[in-house]
Amino acid sequence: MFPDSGHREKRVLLLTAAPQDATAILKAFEGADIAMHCCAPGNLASEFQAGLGALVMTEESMTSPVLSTLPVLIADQPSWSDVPILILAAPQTDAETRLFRWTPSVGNATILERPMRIETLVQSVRVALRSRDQQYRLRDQIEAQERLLMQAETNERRLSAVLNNTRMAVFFMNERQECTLMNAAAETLTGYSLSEVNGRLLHDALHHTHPDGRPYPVQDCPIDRAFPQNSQTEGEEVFVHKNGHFYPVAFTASPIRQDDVVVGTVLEVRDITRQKSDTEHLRMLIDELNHRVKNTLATVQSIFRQTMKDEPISRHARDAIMSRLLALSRSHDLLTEESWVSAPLRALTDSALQPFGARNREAARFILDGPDFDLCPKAALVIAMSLHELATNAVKYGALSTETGVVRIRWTVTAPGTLRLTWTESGGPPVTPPTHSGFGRRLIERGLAHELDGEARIAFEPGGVVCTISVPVDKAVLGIGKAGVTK
Amino acid sequence: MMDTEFLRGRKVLVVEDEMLVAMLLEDILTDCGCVLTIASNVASALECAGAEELDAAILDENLNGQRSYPVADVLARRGIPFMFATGYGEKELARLYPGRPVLAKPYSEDDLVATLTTLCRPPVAG
Repeated sequence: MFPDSGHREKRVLLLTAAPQDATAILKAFEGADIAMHCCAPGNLASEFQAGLGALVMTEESMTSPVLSTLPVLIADQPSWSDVPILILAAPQTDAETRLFRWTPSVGNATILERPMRIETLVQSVRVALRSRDQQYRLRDQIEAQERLLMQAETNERRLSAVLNNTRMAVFFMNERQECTLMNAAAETLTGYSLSEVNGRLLHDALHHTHPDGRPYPVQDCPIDRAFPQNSQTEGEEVFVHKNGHFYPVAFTASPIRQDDVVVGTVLEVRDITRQKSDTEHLRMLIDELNHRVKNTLATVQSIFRQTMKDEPISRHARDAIMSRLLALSRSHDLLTEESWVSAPLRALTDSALQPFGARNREAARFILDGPDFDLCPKAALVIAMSLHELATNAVKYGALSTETGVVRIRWTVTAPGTLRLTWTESGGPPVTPPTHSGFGRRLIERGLAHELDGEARIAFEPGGVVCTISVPVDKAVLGIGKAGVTK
Repeated sequence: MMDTEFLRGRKVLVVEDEMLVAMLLEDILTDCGCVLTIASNVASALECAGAEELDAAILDENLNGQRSYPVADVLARRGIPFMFATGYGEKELARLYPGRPVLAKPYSEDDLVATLTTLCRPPVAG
């Protein structure tokens, strides 16, 4: 484009043979606010191509070079353009015959007879420029549409690049739940090409049967509910491949709204076969590990009992060993259920105290009070073993050795970031502090410090044993469960 | 000590692949007066379960990597009460064999004797 193209588009090129004709015409247009531009016949092509609003030419200027150039210039115009041409006929009598011979080759030409009034010429040029303006508006519209079209094509190319390069299978369903688009990943996933499912209920193609062989009616399908319920739906389902095999998928179905009206659903689907088998494999490994741990503990139990037959020990000692072994095993159970990630404090407490409550048939003698926390594995084991030792001691000497004694276990998170658990016995016989530090006490006091940077203090108060356990929250707690529960 | 008189003379099939664990069961149950048959794999356990006269059976769930379920099914067909001992969780067994007792390994002597006693008692009519 020329920098002054706006000006050039509106100018009127003037082609004359005699200089006095040019002078007269220029004079006629003085004060008419129309840009007249004299053009030498040799420059016609370049001036024409540079842009013009109209061409005014005298018949005398139409020499043979002009007559051979002009039709080409006219024919080469873009589709929107048809430059208006005013031909001022020569005043000779035979002018008419000559004009009619060549006007068909000069396109949008109007012939004005000379002599004429100046106003007629000026007005004719104005009309020509007006029609040229109309052509320019048409051109602008066409160009704007072309730009939009190009933008749309770019967008489309980008979109299909995304759609066809993502590993996520993407489908589009119309308001009748029929498939109207699927990307390359969707074709790979399902085994179908778009042409095979285009216009069909997607459910009927991919999801028609449950893995157990029962038919899967579309009205039961959570994917197809996203549209009528107008809400995004996520979940896991099992699809049927074109070749008949079933495969598990995770899906997201999102209703598509246009001007607040739901017009269809975009469905994203991911094959989760691998993920499922990995999870299953992990679960199997944990089960296997647990099985071995449990068998090993049972073996230890057996070795102990066999040894005891040859080397008898006291019944107290035997019971203590057995019950510690079983307590260790029970605390493993809760961790196994959560794949060795965490164990809920409350369930852990219940499980550690269960043999004592069960034996006395009086679970109400334990009062548990605190919110549920998920403990990390280390903390779970140490705390469960500590509770077991405290309960064992309480059964032998403390609150649980009488008919009416109770144990209150409270736990709470105190500032700054400390989980504090207190074990308070009451209603038992008068407490006599022990003369030496037994295994249970050492396990509680040393175990907590060693494993968790925690602290435990056992006080032999006259009214009953009080044990205060403090551990840093960041070492012991993975998360806070449901709101506090009190038993 | 639990009352083990009821178990005296009961014929019990013990299916367990770990020798030391089998010895533990043998010790406990022989002390109770039970008469034991011990099988360490699925094949021999199936043989005993299908042919022998039994009052009850204790099945380890995993026998050298094989599940003891076929043995359980034979016992069930013959109407012989049985319990599982397992190092796995109890959920899967509870689903497969609802109503059958499951002891988690390692188990206490008292729990073992109590569960076996329940198995050997005839079902209450009604």
